[in-house]
Amino acid sequence: MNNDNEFQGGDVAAAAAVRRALPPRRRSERPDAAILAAWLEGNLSEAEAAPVEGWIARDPDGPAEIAALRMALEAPRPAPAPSRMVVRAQAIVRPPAAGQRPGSPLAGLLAGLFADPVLRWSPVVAVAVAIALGGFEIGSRGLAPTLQPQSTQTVEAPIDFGAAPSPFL
Amino acid sequence: MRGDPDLIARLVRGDKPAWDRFVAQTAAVVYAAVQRRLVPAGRGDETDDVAQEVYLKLCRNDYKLLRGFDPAKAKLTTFLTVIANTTAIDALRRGRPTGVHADSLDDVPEARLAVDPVEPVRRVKIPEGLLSARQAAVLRLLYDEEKEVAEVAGLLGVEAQTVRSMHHKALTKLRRHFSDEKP
Repeated sequence: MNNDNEFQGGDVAAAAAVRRALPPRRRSERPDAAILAAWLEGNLSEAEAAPVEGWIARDPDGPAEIAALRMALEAPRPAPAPSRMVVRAQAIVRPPAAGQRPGSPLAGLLAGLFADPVLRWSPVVAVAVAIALGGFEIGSRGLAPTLQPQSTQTVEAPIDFGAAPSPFL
Repeated sequence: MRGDPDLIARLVRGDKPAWDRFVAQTAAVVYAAVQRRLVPAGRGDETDDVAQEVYLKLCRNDYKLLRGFDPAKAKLTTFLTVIANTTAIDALRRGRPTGVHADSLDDVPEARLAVDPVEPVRRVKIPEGLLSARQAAVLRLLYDEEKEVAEVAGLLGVEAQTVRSMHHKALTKLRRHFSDEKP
């Protein structure tokens, strides 16, 4: 029986032909959670929905996952979660340190540093102290030998202009 | 719960009081979605840990998941249910037994080890793009999953009539393709 006849044939033959025509199933990456949520609420165009529907057609677990999600979304209002779980989840985000504004850790650190009047001027004070100490040290001991002016002396070396040139030149 | 754009903005800034309120308001949904997956698999005792993992996922990579959420497209509860569900599935997969242990092979009844003889089936190659993703999904659910039209409609969130129409169009395309292909 050729394929054409199979598809034209009765239900059983057509079903077998369709099954064979479908691409093989393989596990593939789930669509992005935000896309999946929007698809579940019917807020995507057909083009936007294609990654989700392609995943359902392809992934062996796709249809079951979607069915479970639909059931979960239709379930009645859930009972409150145990307080121990809530406390643990809340502890994931730590409160900012005093004076630190929320944001990225580095931004918070810098903001805290420059908000404090003592810390704000401390780098300037540290540089000034280092220069003053360096000057005092130089004044009392003199410069280190490597920093003193280099003395030069004349060296006389005998040069024989009559020597034979190197064979490599 | 419709996602409040201000709430998401506060969360991704690391606003601690906003985070605490967010967890308190959403924990029931997350916990229930995780529990619904783990309990039937006999792993309900892991619900706390997996629910915690859901919130960790939301914070990871500078709140990448939360930043991707669009309150105009979906409710926050739907978004969280999706994440909780997939996190629970992944937890179950991680712990899934790998099969028959080699040491205990002798203890396994022979019937369980038997492999049904399967005749090799000639697969018909259909070109990429012949069917739309939606048409392929409809055929998959109707023929491979052997679901009724109403079930497929419920799953895809469309009317039963739409499923029938997509089924008809997909079969027409397949018939036309294979009759054109015939030498």
